[in-house]
Amino acid sequence: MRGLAKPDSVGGLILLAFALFYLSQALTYPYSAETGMGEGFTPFWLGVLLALGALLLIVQSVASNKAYEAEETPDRVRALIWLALMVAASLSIDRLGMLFSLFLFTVASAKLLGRGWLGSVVLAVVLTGAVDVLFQWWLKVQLPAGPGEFKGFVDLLLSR
Amino acid sequence: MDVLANLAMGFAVATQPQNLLFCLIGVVFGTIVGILPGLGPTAGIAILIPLTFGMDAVSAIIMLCGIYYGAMYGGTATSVLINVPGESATVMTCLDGHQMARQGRAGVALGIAAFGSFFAGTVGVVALMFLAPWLAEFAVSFGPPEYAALMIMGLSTLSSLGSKSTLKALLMGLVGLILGTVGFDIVTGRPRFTFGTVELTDGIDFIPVAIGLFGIGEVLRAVEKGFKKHQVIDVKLSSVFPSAKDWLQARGAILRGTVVGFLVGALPGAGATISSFLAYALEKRVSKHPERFGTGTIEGVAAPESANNAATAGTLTHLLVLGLPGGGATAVMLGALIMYGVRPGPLLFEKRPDLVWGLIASMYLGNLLLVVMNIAFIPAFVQFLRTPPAMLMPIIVVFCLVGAYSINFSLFDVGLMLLFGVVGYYADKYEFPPAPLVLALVLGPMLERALRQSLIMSQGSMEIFFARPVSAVLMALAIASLALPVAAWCWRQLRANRGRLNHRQQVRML
Repeated sequence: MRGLAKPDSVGGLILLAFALFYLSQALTYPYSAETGMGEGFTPFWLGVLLALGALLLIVQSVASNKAYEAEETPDRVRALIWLALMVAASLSIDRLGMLFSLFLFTVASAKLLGRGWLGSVVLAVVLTGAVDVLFQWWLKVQLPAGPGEFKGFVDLLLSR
Repeated sequence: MDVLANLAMGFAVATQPQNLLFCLIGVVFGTIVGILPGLGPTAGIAILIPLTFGMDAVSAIIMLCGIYYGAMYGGTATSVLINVPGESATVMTCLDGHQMARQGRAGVALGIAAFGSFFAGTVGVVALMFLAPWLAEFAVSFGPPEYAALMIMGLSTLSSLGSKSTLKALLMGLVGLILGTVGFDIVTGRPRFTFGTVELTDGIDFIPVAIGLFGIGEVLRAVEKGFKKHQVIDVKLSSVFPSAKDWLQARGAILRGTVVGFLVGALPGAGATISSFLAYALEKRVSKHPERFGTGTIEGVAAPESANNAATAGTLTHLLVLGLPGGGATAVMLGALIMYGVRPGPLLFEKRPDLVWGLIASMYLGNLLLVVMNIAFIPAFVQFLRTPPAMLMPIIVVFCLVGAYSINFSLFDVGLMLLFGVVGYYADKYEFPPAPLVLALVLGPMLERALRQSLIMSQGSMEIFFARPVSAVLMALAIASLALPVAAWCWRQLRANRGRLNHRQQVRML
């Protein structure tokens, strides 16, 4: 955590960068119009306020000695892998279909948290089944099928 | 008489089979959401909104409100049984509730919390029933300047009251307002900040943002922190009925908690968490034995539990009447209402009496269902505390992913949700409160519209906000709510400097 001894300064810098980018874009819209305020009026002032607030946060953080409590055994790598799994599942929805992507995600994520293979697969089957019933059957939400779609795969197996 | 006639109409709506069913589903989900540590009502509502798609607005809002006040009941169980608050409004319950559990009185703690919550929730709904129409009549004369001032006050009080750092809360609010400017301009109709992306032309939807911030963010934090195995204290049904002595001891705390809860909840920006803190502090102050607080006194459970339930009715007052949410959960509910085509505000009582009175009547029924459930089925609900995280976390994420997709059948929303999941993770880690961001995102377009209409009315002069009495009072309150924390900080610094100076002088004299 040494690199983030002043995390509020880092947060302030990120917000400042965001504010400056937003301001640069806001300036491309007209500030005033015939009716009074133009499209750029509100964004301009919001950008200015955010930039000032971010600067204040940086100053406050540098001036104070606030330290964040060290967490007991934080496992950042596990959180990062989980995030990667979520991103992978989202990206594969188009290709594999929603249910099959969620099935794979559930197996992998449950395994990562210490569940056995069988338990993970059972959980994934039950969960994707529940999603199918709840969203596709009850709420009539058309989830992306994808060529490798899970239900189609099961139907194919059953038809054989 | 009007109120009673409307209430009768509300009961006719609330007792329709599908509404009763969704009320039951809402309170059951709410209790479970409250019981599961780390998953608060805001996350619960955000994640479960997609389940209401296709539903009629009345049933949907009855279910979402059921989740909201059901979570207050459910949060008590974790506070008492494992000393981990199920959500922030039950933090104070841990202090005495868990001590009572360790003394073998877990059942009594849960019982008094359930009965106190039922009493407070019901009284809160009665107060809402009489106060809301009166407030609506008053607010019906509001014009754009009053609405703009009201929204500014709502955002500023939430920032100053609802978080540890006013500056961070304000910054999050500003980010929310900025995100609210994405999409078609409300006056000219030209796109802003869309960067040529079709998905952004309608603006940033609040649901993926809320699901990401509260759902995915929480999951990432939980996965990072790891999962402690908690010792769950078992509860028997026979032990949840408080004795006559317990009732006598707790009755004052329940009454005071109810009053404090409703009044504080009715303040925009305050809400259930602050009301429970204040009720506990008040109870300790008026008690003849303040030293017993923290050691397992029944008043220490009754007061905050009554307060957080009464506060839910208080919070709903300004949500329904003024269209002003008091916190994260009600901000998500406001967004949901707008999504169903319902615009909360003073005219809602005239335009949709079925929704308003149906909701109020459903809250009576919901509180009744909750007290029965929390007494009769508490041993069963406690089993949820034993759900392995390896099961729970994937379930939450799967519902988040499907929920975010179902809004617009768009993978863009799924990506947006993941992005805000990362934002929520860092926000929680470094104490940037996410609620102001969601509130500002929901209110942003409405605030900009009111602001621009006001300035058109005044031909560009800001004086309009201070020249009209109601908007002037609201603006003064907004300024005061922001100035007070700054003044308090200056005062603390001054005292600290004075203390340091005195200490140095004493050292020199020695």
